[in-house]
Amino acid sequence: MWQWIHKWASPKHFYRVSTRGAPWLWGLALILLPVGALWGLAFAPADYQQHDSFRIIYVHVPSAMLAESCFALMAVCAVVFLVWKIKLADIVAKVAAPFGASMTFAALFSGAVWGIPTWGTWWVWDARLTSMLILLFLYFGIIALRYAFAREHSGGRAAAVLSLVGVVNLPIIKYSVEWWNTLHQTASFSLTKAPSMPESMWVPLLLMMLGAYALFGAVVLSRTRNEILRREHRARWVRALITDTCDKEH
Amino acid sequence: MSSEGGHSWARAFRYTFVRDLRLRIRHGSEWGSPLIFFALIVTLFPLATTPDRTVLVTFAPGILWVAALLAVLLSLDALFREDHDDGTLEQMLLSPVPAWLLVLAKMCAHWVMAGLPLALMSPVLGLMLALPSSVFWVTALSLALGSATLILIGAIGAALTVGVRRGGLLLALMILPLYIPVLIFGAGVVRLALDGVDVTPYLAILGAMFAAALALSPWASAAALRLAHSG
Amino acid sequence: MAFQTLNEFLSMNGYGVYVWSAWAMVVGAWGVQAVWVHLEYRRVRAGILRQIRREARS
Repeated sequence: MWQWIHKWASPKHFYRVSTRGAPWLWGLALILLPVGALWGLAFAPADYQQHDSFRIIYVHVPSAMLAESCFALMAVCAVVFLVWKIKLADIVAKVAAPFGASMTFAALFSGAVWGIPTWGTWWVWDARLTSMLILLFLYFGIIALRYAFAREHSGGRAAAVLSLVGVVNLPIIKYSVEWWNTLHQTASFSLTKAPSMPESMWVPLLLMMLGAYALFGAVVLSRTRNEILRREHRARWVRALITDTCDKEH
Repeated sequence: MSSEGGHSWARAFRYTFVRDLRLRIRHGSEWGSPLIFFALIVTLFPLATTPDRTVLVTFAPGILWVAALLAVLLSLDALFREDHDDGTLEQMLLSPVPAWLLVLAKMCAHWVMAGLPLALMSPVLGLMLALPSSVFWVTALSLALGSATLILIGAIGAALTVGVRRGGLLLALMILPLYIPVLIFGAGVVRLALDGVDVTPYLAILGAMFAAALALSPWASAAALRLAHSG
Repeated sequence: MAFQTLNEFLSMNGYGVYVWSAWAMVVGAWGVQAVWVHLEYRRVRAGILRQIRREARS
């Protein structure tokens, strides 16, 4: 069992196994996202209250979900890296962080833009928006910490500890921001007042969400592969592989 | 056997605690600067906004808490830096006494020198912010409890950045988001007291956060220090 | 089809600015990530090739 895990997590083996998988994920994302986008933008009926502005949901919800899933992935990788010292987990955590940060920003931006037609303002100190903003800061902290170390390995371990601390704190932050929000009584809006969405509205949302996850998987997988090549650039199998791709071109 | 072990643990804890206190007291600037910083920040707010007492009092809980939080953040660098530079920390990690216990002793000493004084100073600054004297006790209590939690959480960050050359800004970037829950409920306690509402629920939450941080932070900080040392 | 004309679709019945800017932001972020991955691969590959050549020469 352990041997199997270590073999599977060895960069070389992982690189070989994932060679087949990566194009599938990219393809899945390339099918699901355009179909979902076209459906959501052009074919889904307008919301009876928010009219056509509700179409922002098709990008807002997937990016917000990715922002949180990405943090969860980083935390899982942190445990795997710290406990079993599997380098592959550190690589995944490293490449996932910028993706998660960009998704958090995208979710904040689309939420703010959505705020104009629905609330009449860019920003309200709504519990969800606030905790999303804090999540963005957590991402920045983790990324900055990783690059503060001269040695890659130390940076990886520090970032792993911080993502674990962050993941313990995240529910506390969310809960306290919500509490604080109800205390203030200023923003009594809620983002998703879904009075049982009709099928033609939620199916494209589902497609977008699945497509976004496929893209997430594809980006993380491919960047993990790049990072493996970069870190193992002295290894013979990497050399052989690269010269092989070179030969194919000529 | 176990009692003997427990005895030596207690001695190690006491020794580290007293040693840190002594070192701090000797370096007056180290424990004085955060306090002066605290007072300075509080002074800046009325100058930047308004001297109007009715307005100031609504901001007072927030100003006091943000200023105290920044003062704690500023003081965190002193927690491990010197011991790291002169190699004491490495000896502590190698000693047979568990590292989390020694780290906890250092945190306690730090709280006595950098957390508790903030709480004791808060009534004076509260006066300047037009805070009614009836809430002084609650303010000091919330700051005493809150600053302990802040130090516990911040210690993890200080331990992680101890090997980084210019870690100050990085530490703020990492730790400030984690401080938000403490800030919300800490300032909330004072605000509730101002409104004349029962503050015990908020104090209880603040206490719960302290308990959770106390359970996790010494262990996490020790692990972070070990990471910083093993390269 | 929820829209009668192309113009209506582009203006989103008055919500065009919001819908399109939000979509542009998110889809743009996805696109940047996807392009970045491939540029990164090329850069890593070029770096390794350069090193192989350098070592072959010496």
